[in-house]
Amino acid sequence: MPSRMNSARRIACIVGLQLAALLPHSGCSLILDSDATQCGSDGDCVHFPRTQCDLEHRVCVPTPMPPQDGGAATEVAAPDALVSCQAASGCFQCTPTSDLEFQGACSDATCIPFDNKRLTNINLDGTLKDLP
Amino acid sequence: MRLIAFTSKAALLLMTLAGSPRLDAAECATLPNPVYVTGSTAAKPLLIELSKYLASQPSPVTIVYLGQGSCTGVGAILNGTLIQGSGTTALSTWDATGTEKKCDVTTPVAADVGISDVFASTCFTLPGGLPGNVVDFWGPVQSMTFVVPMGSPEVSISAEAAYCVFGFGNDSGVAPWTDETVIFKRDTSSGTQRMISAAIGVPAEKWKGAATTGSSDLLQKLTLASPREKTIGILAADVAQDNRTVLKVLAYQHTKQSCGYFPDRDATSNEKANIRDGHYAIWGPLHLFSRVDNSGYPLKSSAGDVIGYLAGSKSAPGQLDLVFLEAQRHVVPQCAMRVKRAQELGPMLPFEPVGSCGCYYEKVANGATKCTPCQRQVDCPASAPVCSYGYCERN
Repeated sequence: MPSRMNSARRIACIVGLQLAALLPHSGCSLILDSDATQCGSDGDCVHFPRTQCDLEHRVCVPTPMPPQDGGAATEVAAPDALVSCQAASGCFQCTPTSDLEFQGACSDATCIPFDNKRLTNINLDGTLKDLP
Repeated sequence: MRLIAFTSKAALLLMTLAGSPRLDAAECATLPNPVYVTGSTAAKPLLIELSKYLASQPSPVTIVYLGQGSCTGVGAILNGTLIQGSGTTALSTWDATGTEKKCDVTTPVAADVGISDVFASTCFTLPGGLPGNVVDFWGPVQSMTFVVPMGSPEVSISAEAAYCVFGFGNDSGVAPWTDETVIFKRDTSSGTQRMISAAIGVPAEKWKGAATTGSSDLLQKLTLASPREKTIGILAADVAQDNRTVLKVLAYQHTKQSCGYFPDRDATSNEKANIRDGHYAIWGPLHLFSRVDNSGYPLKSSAGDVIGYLAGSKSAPGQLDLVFLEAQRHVVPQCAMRVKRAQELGPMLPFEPVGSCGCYYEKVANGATKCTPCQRQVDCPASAPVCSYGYCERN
């Protein structure tokens, strides 16, 4: 019985996270995937230590080391050596430091998504109406 | 053991719903070492447990309590509003068995402790912060929840849905919560309502729904309401958890969160894992406001002791295990938290309390923990090197 319940919980959680992946979400910028648009500025790369945004390819890349002894700048590591903070299930798997990371951190807790499509008294653009 | 737990919870519910009988009411001032506490109704169950213990000590302290809502408690200290009551409005005390007794305050007195679920700035505009002679001592963390009666098919709610339900009432557009007569709210003085207001963006004075006078009143109306599927309300987690046989806590999905979480790891556990690690958003410390002397200590020393016990800064007399007591009352001692925040629903920060008690808290709350038991530091692995409260902790 317990394992059955756990499976159900996991399914609910994964479904929720898959739904979430369809929505604009800051977590999307954390995926270290050179095929995806990962960042628009250096600020989007703060979750990868010692990286900055490559604005041409829109991916996080290692920050060049300062030149030593007048030599040319060198990179600290190849991009694929970095660890993604987003687990395959979509949760945040590094040490959380912000609200979004705490709230989206990987966990074995039950999670049950609420479908905001149930909201019908909202503006046409999907935003919430002002209170009466 | 489960039966005993159920029976005691059922008894507590009956006591809560029925109110306590008025016994021979003495003047509160004649009781041993009275400490006058007023404010949050949600904090009452925790005060009962502490009162029982303090009443049984060789030098007993009597907690004299008047539940009026969190903001009224803050106001009692900030503004010096006196408290009084007799007859049907007599104040509450509890003896060593936890039996509630009433006592009269016929000559108004100043409250020693204003107890609140929310920050003072959530109740009042305080551009200069608290006055210099008032201190906000932080007690254990508690959380606020959305609840539906047992039998409702609903299992979760989002911040956006709650905004529509409590901000628009009949016009919420969130089926099935479209009937204000069974959408239960508290009042503008309620810490429960104020804290949830901060989470969902509906100012406390703009809430729609049927008014209730306190946690007990809301609980009673919620559980008796019909139709059940349209019914929803709000309660502090400690009150909600005591009544899991008659209501359900909804998983809450905060703004920008992709999934809803319970305060606990799941709907039936007790360890408040999602509050402690920040998955569940609606939480804050219990605030214990008191006027203080020049050294920052509460003016009445016995009030300082009560505050110290609740804040975890003073060892309780005898064998009182505060972590255990707080686990039983469904609040979280600071030593079991992994996140902290400095303002109402403000940004969370990582928190590594010295002398962590997270593992022990889980053990006493759930009856089990996966942590490694220890007697000494050498018993602990490098990943959790500190032996604290009998378990290996990270710090």
